[in-house]
Amino acid sequence: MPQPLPRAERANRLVLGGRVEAVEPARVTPGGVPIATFLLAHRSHQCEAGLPREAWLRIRVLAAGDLAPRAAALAVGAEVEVEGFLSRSSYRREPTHLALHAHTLRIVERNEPIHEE
Amino acid sequence: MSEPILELALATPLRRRFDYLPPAGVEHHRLQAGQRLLVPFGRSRRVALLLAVKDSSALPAERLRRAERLLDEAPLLTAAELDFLHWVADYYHHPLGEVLFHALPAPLRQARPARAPEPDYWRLRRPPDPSELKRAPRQAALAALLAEHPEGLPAARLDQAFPGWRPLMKQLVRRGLACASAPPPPPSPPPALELNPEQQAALTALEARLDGFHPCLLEGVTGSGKTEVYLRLAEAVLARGRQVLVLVPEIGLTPQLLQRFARLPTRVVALHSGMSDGERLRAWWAARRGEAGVIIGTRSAVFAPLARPGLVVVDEEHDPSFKQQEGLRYSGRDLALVRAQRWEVPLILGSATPSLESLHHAREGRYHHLRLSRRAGAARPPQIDCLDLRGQPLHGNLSPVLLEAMERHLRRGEQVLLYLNRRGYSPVLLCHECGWVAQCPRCDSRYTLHKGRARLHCHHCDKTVAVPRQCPACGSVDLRPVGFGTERTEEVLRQRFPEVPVLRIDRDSTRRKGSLEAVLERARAGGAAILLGTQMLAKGHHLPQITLAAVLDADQGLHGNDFRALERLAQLITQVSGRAGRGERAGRVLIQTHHPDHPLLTTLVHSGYPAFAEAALGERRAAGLPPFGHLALIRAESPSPEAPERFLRAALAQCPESPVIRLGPAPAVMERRAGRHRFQILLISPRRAPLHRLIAAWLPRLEALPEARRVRWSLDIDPQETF
Repeated sequence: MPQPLPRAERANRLVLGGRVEAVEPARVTPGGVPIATFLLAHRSHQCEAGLPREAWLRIRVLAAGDLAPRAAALAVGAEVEVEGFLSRSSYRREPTHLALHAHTLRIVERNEPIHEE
Repeated sequence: MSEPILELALATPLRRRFDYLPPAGVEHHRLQAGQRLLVPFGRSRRVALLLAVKDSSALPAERLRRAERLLDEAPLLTAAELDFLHWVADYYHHPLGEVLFHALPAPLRQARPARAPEPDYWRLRRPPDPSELKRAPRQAALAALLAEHPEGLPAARLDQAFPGWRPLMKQLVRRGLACASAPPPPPSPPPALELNPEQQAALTALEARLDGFHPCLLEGVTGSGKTEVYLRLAEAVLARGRQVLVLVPEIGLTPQLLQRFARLPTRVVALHSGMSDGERLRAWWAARRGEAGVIIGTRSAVFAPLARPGLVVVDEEHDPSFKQQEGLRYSGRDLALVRAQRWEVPLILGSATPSLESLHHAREGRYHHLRLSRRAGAARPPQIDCLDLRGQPLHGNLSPVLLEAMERHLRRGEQVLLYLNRRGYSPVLLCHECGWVAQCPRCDSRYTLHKGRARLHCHHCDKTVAVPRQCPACGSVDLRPVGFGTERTEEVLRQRFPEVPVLRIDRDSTRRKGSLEAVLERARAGGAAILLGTQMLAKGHHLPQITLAAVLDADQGLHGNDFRALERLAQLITQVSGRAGRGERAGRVLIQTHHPDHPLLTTLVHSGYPAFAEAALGERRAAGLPPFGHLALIRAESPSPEAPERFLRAALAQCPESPVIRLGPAPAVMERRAGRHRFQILLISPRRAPLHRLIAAWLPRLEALPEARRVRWSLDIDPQETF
């Protein structure tokens, strides 16, 4: 039996809010699991070393199973909050390339275009 | 007078004959070679074939057992047939008993008397009296069915229309209501076609050689009308009161040929493994008694005992399916040659892409070489081009140039043929997150994904499992198909050409009996359509509406493991090309490849098959491979990883002195298959005689090796594949 991982190594939970960009149509794996992915653009104000700053990133969100149809139906520009875990995005890329695998998907705002600044 | 001794052959792998005493109560003059007997064997009973009646046995009298029963009054196999089968056993170094029983239809391998087979056709003799069948409604129904067909009904149709009809028919016959009848003349056979001058010249040349053994290679480009030449020649043979044996590579091709031969004034029978035992037995007897003028069958039909042979034809002689790949590993084409020689009748080897062996023999003057270079009727040769796939944006597995050409042809209401020799959805199922690939646990190979059936299927050992929901290595659910099989290509085509019917032809889509005919019928009905298929589609089917043919992945053949891979690829490309433009429009052929500069591929595309064959023969000569060298392969396999190699090493240690080259033992290209590890020794000899001398001396030593009992091993003479 494999050794149970130390507690610190087991931790993998992330809540990330942002706007939906580029939704890909849902596909069903040959094993019958529906999968939808979309790109999530996150922008927030954070505090670091006592100084205010902006955080900005884009990450691919993967929603499998029952969550897939909801993810696939998202409109570009919708504001969502995703809770899930991180894993490497593809065997062909460096393990530093990550994807967010959703456990829950909360829609904050249905469909509002991103305001370009 | 002392009792005679019967020398018998039994269907066992033992290379020996068995002595028995005659059955009690059978007068000795009734015993003749070629009869079957029922004999006690160990604790069971077996069917044996009488080889000879002799005066004495090497066995002491008390150990001789008595045969139980004589099964045939007249010999089943004539002396000439027995002779031929002896030759086969010697040439393939195969146990005689297995060869003899292999040559017999399955029902005759059992202890049933070879009773006269039931007739094929039945008709009503008189309508039943109104009250006659009152209490037998099923008989009445059968009589009513027969009444609707005064010309008679064939057994095959009755099997379909009236399951369980045979006992009922017996009752009707007993009542004098029905009787067996001769088959009616076929309704409207396709008319004889006009011969062009080339066909006429070939026919004249062949008609001049109807007496005696004359092997002839008829090299005719696809659509040049080879079949019409066979038919005319068969007519001449039948007119002399003789029979014609026609071998084809695939069961699928027999109905088409049967229909064309139906115009001949004789009974035409089929003989292949798709028929029931009863049907085959009837066809065998029809050949044996000379009742059938034409026998059309797959490779096993070469064992049909013709009563009055007059001609042997091997159509598509280059086809690898003529070689049996298990048990008695014979080549139907090569045996056809021996048959014709022994029967002293002409042999025609027909093909658009003759095997390098046959071309070589023709060039050496051993075969008469006849060519049909023009397509029959108005058809013109197709234009062939290679499509360089390197750096091209692909739609699925289709390049933009191909898609554009398809659109053009389909818009004109023409048909497109796409050839892809890979069944299933995708050859690989991959985990996108960790790179795991679904592999067969019993073979060194990957599972093929079959999406419709939702199974992973190993095409090497036939094992199937459900498609996993998640990766067994990392747990990810993101499993993806990689690569394109026919099933996936069909999906791509349906999306891209939603308004055009896509007809897929492969082993999976034509599993049901008659489904292949249905699809071909649909294609012949005309109108724009895409035909997508594996090699099933490339073989001799007449599809006149196709104007564009494409080979989707020629690279598969370029990277083949076998020395014949390129020959096969060239034959396939040429055969696929031959499907394009058989009607009035000129055809176009596109070949997708990542290696557009491959020397043999460019020779084939620019100069045609004969030029390719010339170049390929040069390479074979340089390498000492067939037809310039003769091969035999000893294969050994076992669940144990060591046993096969150990056996073959022990075998080599026992090998007699010989100039024959011995390569190995080496692992097979796919070392593990169906849970067995496989090794082999390849024997190469520039001349045949030393090879056979070596094998004859070596085999008894091989069989005596203790290591031989731990493996399954086989000998393949003239192997088709060496991997």
